[in-house]
Amino acid sequence: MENKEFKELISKYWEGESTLEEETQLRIYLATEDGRTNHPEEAAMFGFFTIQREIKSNITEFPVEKLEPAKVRSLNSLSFVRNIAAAILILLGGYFVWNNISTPPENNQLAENWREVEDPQEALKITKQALAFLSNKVDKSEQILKNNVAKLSVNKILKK
Amino acid sequence: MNYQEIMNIVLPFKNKLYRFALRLVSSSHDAEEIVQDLLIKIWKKKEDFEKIENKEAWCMTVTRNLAYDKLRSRKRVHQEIEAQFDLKDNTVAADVHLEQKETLARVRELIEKMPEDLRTVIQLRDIEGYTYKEIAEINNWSISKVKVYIHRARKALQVAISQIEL
Repeated sequence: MENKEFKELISKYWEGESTLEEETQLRIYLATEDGRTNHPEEAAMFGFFTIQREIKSNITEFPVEKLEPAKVRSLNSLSFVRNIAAAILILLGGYFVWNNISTPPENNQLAENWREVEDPQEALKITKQALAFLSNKVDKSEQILKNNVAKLSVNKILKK
Repeated sequence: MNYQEIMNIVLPFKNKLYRFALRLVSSSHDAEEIVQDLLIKIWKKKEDFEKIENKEAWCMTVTRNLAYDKLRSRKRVHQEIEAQFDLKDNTVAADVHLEQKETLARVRELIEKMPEDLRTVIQLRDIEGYTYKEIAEINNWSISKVKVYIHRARKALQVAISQIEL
């Protein structure tokens, strides 16, 4: 290929119209003495591309260590001490709350005697007994009230 | 699919992945980390990965996304120009003279100053040799968008390179 043809190829390249094959031809040409002399700017640029293509990664093995990172903690780290202190506080708080909730109320006979009655007949019997007890108490109260009212005199009421 | 099988698939184009990441994050350490993160991602999605037709393009896309995540998590660091031109590390041809190296550094500087999308197309087309279709697939762009970006990138390069004193 003549220099004139390479010149046209370079124009195509700058316009973004060259194919990959044409760009390969250009790269080869611009690496030659003729290419560097006739087109120093493009030769420098293509030289840069070639050098860039030579940069290599050092990775050769799968990074297993990144997959399972070690979970080692330093005992001296401040955050570790803070975590321990927080755990102790939570445990103490939990113990205090549990202690207060679990203690039964003192002398609470109602709570102790409480039971559920599932048999309807038994429930009726207990209810009747309770009502009789209540009625008896009401009758006694009524009698006492009548006796006291009878003892009252007008003078006592008016405090004469 | 075990670790070695994943490596067997990725190793042939691992350097492309690394260079692409390096172009975006400008740090060899971060670029290596991105490739490692990609391998972890493949491992975690190995069933899906096996079904992917164009694994290389998929890996390039994930690499790009991981690089963007990295960039978002930190301010972009302009560094390691020397590292990229280190003859020992990068196996640059032994006949590259000092003057040439300076010119190359200047070209690199020009590319570094370009907008991200234009740098990406230069990396994928001029350095890695991908087709327009592949570049579109990697970046989730249309082919016409790729053509526009390549045209813009080359015009910008042409103007910039003409200013270099050779």
